[in-house]
Amino acid sequence: MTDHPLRNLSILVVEDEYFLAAELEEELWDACAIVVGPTPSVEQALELIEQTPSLDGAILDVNLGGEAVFPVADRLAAKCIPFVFVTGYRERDALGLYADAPRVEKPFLRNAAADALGEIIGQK
Amino acid sequence: MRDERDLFLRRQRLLGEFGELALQSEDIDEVLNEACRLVAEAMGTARAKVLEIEDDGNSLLVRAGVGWGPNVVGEVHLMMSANSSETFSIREKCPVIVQDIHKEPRFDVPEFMKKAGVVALANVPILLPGGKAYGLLQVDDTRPRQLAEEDAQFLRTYATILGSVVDRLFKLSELRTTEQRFRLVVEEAKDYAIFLVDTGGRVTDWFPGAEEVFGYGADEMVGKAAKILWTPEDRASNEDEKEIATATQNGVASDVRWHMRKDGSRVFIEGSMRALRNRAGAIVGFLKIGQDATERQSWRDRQQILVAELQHRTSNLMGVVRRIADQALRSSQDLNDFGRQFGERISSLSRVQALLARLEEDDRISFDELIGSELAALGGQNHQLNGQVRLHGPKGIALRSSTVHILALAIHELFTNALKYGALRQPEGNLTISWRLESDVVPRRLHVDWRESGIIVPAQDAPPQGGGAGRELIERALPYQLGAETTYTVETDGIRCTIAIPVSGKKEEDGQ
Repeated sequence: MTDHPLRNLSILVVEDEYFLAAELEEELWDACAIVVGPTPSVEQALELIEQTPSLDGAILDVNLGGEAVFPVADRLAAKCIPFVFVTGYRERDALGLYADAPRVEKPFLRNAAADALGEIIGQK
Repeated sequence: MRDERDLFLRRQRLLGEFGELALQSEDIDEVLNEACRLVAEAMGTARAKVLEIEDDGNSLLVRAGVGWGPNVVGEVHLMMSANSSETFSIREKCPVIVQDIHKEPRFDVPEFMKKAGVVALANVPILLPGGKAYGLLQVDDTRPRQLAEEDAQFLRTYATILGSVVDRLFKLSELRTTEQRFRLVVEEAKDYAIFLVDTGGRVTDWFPGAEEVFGYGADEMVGKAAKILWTPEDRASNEDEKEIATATQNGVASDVRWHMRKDGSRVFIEGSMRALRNRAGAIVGFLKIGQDATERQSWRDRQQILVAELQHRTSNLMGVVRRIADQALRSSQDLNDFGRQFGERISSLSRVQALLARLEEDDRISFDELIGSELAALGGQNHQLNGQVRLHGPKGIALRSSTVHILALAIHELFTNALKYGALRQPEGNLTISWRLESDVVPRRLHVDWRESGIIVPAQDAPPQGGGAGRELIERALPYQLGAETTYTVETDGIRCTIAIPVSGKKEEDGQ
């Protein structure tokens, strides 16, 4: 795993379900990334973005307890920070402007989200 | 000669009278009876009648008549048989004159006519335009009589006029029936908004169903532009004009969208607009028919939300299950141990799922139900009966549905640990679970106090082996996911745990 593209990169995790957040966190640890968060809320995510000048990427759950994660995606896009969405099957329709953004569908295989993000960042 | 001229004039006058009546009256029985009276007068006899071919085509009804006794007009039916002069006249479409029935053995004469003393008769078929036979005009006399050529010609003329008159009255009554039916259908169709607009989109006819659906009366809508029924956003993009253009081009345009009611509320219409053309093929207006499908539509919306929500929860639940498997894998000594740990936790999730499945829409699981379900599943009720477990707290504190799974898992871990390592392992141990609603904070919070006592926990045994998963749930998962404030301490006589989580009112929306 030492050559994972996310190695030593700061990655924000936004996911409201604790178990999924914990799992994403572990995936990132496995990839030797530095985890920012995880956080279950838009508000906290925006704060973490401001507080982390060297943020390299993000994994975003679309539906945060009924609240959409898009303000976080908007901020990241403005800062040219790459991200992937994790979505339920139906939520794909709700992506709106981000319909073409990279996404991993729940339930996802272990490491799927970290690998998807790594792929995008590796291409840069 | 003078007599002949008088007769001719009289007959002309009678024809004129009949013509006038026929133009004025719309009552077929009145017209036919008057026709009989006039023809009898013209022919100088006391009896005449109209026989109508009945629907079966095999019998004749005495539809009208003059000079007959009771129970004849409207009541006597004659079978059409080969040896009746009436049938012969109708089938051959020509007049048949019998000057003296006693000298005319070809034809049978109906009984009621013989009784009335009829001896001579003239049958003239009444033909509708197009040649179809309607029936027969029959003039009867009780004396044998010679019918002259002019008599026969007069009767033919008379019967021809009668045919046109009967035809007009039939069509009129058919039209009226059709129109009545149409009206009935249109006016009784209260679930359907039906109205007509002219080519400029102005309402020309507004039926009761339209009033029912849109709230406007006919007095308010006739002459007005139907545009006001459209939503501001559809008006802004000229959807109404596009609909007229489509209906003009294709004959019909579908109209499935939200519309505006008089009171400003919206109604979902499933309907169409159809072009109405005159005989020359030019569009003279449009027919709009639509059904109020608001309820159906809101059910569809609701269903979509529910399906999305179900999907969301299911995929999260799958993640939870995998996480539980991971945890059990890490903390178990062998496969049997894994099977037991994993199985117990999955059972706990299943119980919550069963509780959730029982709920009506907008209903919530209450904390006491959750505790009761976990207690029952773990056999803790025996301890409760033995006085080891004490529950203190109000019933009916509702939990947000999205919080129930993780809270149930946390409660489950606490019970499991108590049974295996804590207060419920030893008969002298006690477990008190007390809870209350904190109403002075927004949002209101459920405050739970879990207290084990009466046992000695050797310091080296604590935290117990299974405590890892429970502790993580209490200390990390509940604060992360539910915004809970929690404490978890291992004291000398057992575990002490407090949980404070935001809760919903019983009927409140839970935001998810």
